[in-house]
Amino acid sequence: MYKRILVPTDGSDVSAVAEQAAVAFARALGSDIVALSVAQSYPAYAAAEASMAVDPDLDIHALRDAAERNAARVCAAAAAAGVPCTALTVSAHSPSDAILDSAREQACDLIFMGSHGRRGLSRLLAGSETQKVLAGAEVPVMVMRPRPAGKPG
Amino acid sequence: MDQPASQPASQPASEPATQPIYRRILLPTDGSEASQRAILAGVNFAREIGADVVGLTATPAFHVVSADPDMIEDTPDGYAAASRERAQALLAAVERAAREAGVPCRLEQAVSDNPYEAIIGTARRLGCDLIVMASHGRRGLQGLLLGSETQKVLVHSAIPVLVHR
Repeated sequence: MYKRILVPTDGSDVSAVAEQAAVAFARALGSDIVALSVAQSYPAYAAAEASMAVDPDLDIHALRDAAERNAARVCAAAAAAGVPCTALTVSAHSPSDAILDSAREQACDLIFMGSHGRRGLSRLLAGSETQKVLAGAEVPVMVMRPRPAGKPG
Repeated sequence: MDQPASQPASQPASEPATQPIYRRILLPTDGSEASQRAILAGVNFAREIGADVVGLTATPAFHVVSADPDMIEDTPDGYAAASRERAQALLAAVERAAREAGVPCRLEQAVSDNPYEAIIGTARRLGCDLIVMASHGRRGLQGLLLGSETQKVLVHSAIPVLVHR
């Protein structure tokens, strides 16, 4: 049960919460982790929180590098906990499609993710990518919410 | 295993897990097929990790004006009795699954028009550290959208929610 866990990461604080929880979970259950980072091949970074998104002309190489670093960071945390981890970086328009496809291709039996990503509005609704994953996933999805700021959850 | 120089702050690497990763799992049910599957998965998971479970069902409060046929044809007392009976039937499914798996189980019935509030409030009151629930309840359009109560639980829950299809 839950032997191979897909952990999508977008480098945000919310996904960091899910990543840490996933590593602890995998360690307790003796599971493997597949750390997935999606280089979004579409200029969706209008709010440009990420430093690499300075060029709206879409420097796909910079995006891929950043994505690879995110996945590698998850695997480093997994390795430190003795959890086997595969880093996976894919380019895709839609993160949720990439997550669903990767879960299938990698034969993951659980997806671990934050309730919203970089662009989510935490108080109002679960992130749209998370919702799409929940609606389309064939395997269970563990949804983590970040520590609530100011209000007990 | 290679040990990178920088350790993450969260987990010491060598210490064996002395307690389950989750100790008490909340299993809300509305009697739908999806929630039945989630119950079984939640109970199996509880057995695997050594957790106990809390079965919960929330029934709406009685309203004089209602589109719910269970309310229309009844008095408040009759309605309360009928919904108590229905809740007990739903919770019996949790109890049975837990008993068969040898998992300690507690049953809770809440009266609330907002099931997500009952779910979150019960989780907090009983010290649950995980909620296992279905992506769709009885009113969900399967395959299209996330159930509205599930959605609200995801937004408001401070503890992780394991969503089953």
